Amino acid sequence: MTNYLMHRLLLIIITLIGVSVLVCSLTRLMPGDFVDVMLGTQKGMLTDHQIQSLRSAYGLDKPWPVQYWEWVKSILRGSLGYSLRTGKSVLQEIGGRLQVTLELTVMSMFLGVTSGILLGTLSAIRRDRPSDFILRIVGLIGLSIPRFWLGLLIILALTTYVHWLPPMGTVIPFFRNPAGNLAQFIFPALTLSLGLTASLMRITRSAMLEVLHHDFVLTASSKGLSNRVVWLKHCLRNALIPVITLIGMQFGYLLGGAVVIECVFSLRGVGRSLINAISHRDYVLVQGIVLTIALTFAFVNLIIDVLYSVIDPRIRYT
Amino acid sequence: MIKQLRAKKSGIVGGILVVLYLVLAIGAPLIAPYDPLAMHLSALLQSPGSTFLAGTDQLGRDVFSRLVFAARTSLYVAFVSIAISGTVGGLCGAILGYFGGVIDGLGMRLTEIVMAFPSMILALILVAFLGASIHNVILALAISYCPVFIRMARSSSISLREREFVLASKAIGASAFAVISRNIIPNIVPLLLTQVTLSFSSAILFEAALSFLGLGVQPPTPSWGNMLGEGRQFMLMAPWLTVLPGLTISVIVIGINLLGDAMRDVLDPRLRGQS
Repeated sequence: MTNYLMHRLLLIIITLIGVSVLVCSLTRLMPGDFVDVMLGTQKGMLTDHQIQSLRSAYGLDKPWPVQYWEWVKSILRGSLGYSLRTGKSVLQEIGGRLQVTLELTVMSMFLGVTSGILLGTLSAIRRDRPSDFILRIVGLIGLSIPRFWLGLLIILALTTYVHWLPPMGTVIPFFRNPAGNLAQFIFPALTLSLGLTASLMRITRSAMLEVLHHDFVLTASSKGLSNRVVWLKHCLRNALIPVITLIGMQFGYLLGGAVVIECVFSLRGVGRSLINAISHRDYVLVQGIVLTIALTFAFVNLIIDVLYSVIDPRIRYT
Repeated sequence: MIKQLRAKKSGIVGGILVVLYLVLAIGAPLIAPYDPLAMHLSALLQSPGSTFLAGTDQLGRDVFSRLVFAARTSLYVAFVSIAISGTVGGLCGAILGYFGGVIDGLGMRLTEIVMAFPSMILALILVAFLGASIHNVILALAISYCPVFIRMARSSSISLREREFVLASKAIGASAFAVISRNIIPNIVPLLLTQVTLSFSSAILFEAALSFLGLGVQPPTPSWGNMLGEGRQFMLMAPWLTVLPGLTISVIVIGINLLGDAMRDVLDPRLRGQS
């Protein structure tokens, strides 16, 4: 296990180095740089010399490998650099926003996993009955509608019928005002979790139905165990393995979806700040956010792989 | 038996929906009552009615015509990007799996780096770096979807390369190129086909999200996503600008997913019912 973990950590480091090189070189391909965007139409009022000195003040005049190396050096010193636009440190910029994004993803993960597994199990137990049929249609629709559209519809419905929207401007910290915080997050999280619920529902259903054919299920029932024990203890636990694989893959999907959902609900998370940073050509902030997302994603995948061996003792890492 | 029939029935529904949208996209100039870019300045933000079937937007453009023309844009983007990533990813995967060794190791590391990004974020970054335009969206989607195809093709190529008929071809002196093109690829294609269908529906959703954020298809070219993005400001005054494009997207994606599910049931019974 330790060996396996070391190996995985090494792979994460290699991947992150690849990611950082890629992002740093790609950002320089963007049409127009930070100075262009900052000056906008006023650029014509400056001489070439002035523009050049602005560029060099922001360190944009050096070739990108040099810029990359300076960035790496600052990472090794424990800083992700300073945002070109606000001058604040990138860590500071990301810090509070990452919390928002993580709360959003974790909450929708929780909603999606519980409702997905629950409904999927229900659907399998009630196989081919009307409730199963309805659940399967719901699952299909859940997979097929654009989540940001669902978000818009929720906002539309709330304003039209309830005449109320949770105040979204500043994020209320959970520990100061749990109710206010949940009011802000519940709708975005519900919206974001829809796809996860739907796909987990589908895979749980099919995994449950497949497990049902195994001999150990027959053995368990013939021992005289109640249906509930057979379903929950014997079937579900075995059916959960493909479900967990999917959860791992879906986390990235949630992170990506969070970007759009944050924009829909005006939540001040990392995703929205990534979009802003991109439009301002704030390279340093873009790089910092992308690296943070890649790091988070890599660690979640690692955790999921470790969870496998907990749920399925047949899987042992060496 | 009953199950298979039902799968086929839903597959037929899906197929009909897909064909319907294809007809809309191809016959757009004949079907749309107005020019999708023509502004009717005397009829701004009109609600759906007899003159304007689906209402008009903030510039007085006919929403129905725009929806029909947007089918062209959105299906084109999704189709071309999946065609590229399916072909390139499938080929690369087949080659990597067949040869193994150093090339395989390098190829897989590169794939892992691409996969270190959630695909939405990867596409977002790529579009941002390359500049928002329809062809860059296609490129970004193609790159984001490549790893899935590479991995699928690679793993089946690895198992195929040990099979008797492949060994036999090699024994009679067939070149690597001949083995890959005649023995490996024809056997991978059916497996990839289901993935192609499912990726196609998710590519439509992706393009819509990117265009919604203003990073995809640029106005005035209508796409379902940028129509939603533009209509968002008028959501309360003109809810049809928000409701209808989303509904249009949902119906085609449901259709493709139904078709994909049915295809998987027919092509690969082992995977029946999985997402």
